[in-house]
Amino acid sequence: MRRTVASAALVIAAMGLGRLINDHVPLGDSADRPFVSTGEVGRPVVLDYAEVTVTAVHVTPTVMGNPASASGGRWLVVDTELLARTRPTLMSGFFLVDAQDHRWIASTRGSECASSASLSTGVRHYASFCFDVPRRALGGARLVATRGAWTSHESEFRRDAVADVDLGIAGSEVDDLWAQQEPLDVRESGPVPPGEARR
Amino acid sequence: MGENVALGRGVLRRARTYVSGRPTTQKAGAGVAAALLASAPFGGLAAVPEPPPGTLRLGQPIQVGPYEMVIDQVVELPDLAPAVTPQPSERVLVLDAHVTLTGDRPEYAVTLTNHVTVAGGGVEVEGRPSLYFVEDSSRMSGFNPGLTYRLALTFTTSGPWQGDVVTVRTNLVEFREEDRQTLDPDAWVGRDEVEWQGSLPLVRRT
Repeated sequence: MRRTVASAALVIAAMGLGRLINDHVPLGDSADRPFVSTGEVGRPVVLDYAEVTVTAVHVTPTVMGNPASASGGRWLVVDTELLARTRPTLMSGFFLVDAQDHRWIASTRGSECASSASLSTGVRHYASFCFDVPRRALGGARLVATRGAWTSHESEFRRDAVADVDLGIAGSEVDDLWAQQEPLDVRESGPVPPGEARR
Repeated sequence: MGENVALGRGVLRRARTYVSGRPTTQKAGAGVAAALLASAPFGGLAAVPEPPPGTLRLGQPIQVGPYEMVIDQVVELPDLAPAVTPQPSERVLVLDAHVTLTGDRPEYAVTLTNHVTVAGGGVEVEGRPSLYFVEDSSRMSGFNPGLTYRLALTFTTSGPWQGDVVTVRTNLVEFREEDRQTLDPDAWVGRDEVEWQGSLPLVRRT
């Protein structure tokens, strides 16, 4: 009888411990969360599979092309330099996160606007990502770059290395950036540096 | 005759004895079942009728899941080059619309295009519609919230549309927070239920 009671107590204690672990240990977070490396404009963020550098940030109402594409809000165009470190790599996830932690996905409207980058090992690749965003997305915006495409569950880059680059847009700059009217010629994606491509 | 009456009384007595020996909960359940059966001729067992779809009109904002859509006109064209170039015998039917993604996260265009259909005209409509910007004919694949675009929702039809009206329908699209069957929470899911329907005038262009 005493043995039966002890067994029952042991089972109940084990169940309680399981519940305690389930409730208070963030197992889901540690299983799902990507490994984030932060950076800023002009400095490479080194991931285990690639280097990601944001080289320039532009805000414009119009992306040039044939025909030109007017934004619904404003184009936030992010120029990047990407380098696969050890093997050919496809990077499909380039999205913005704003100061309120909302997500914004890239558009493919402009003829030269990229949505992904196919990288050859050791060859620098230049690509511009165009985001059509409302005013509220500009202040504090960050570019997130990774291999998996953005989905509403953000499940495609779980436990993957992710670059999170502050685009350096202060809240006080937003009005001036929004008022800019100069159209932008987006450079062609590929291995040719933008300076040489324009010559 | 007298035997039949006696037999009937016997059956009733046995039934009464049987019922009085049942627990109260069983008596209540039997009473509810009897009431339901009695209401059957008056529609008591009929399914609740689905509400009729709302009437869709030009210029009227409607909600298709996370999207607010206003259809400005319905146009038939031989092609919509460079976006859509069908066979010479085919036509392109365009819902010229303004679309805004409400909510606070991006969504892909299929959440809209999978749930808008056209019917009538004595022609076959091929597959799902595509979505293009009217301004530059580029394809619309993903929306950011809070921005409004003029878009062409294009259907390719097997031939010229017969008649001057097009029946446009949109399905009910609901936000599903949890789904234990697919493990796909927080998703917009289309239901097999027409939410909006309207007969819209057709404009023909050559």
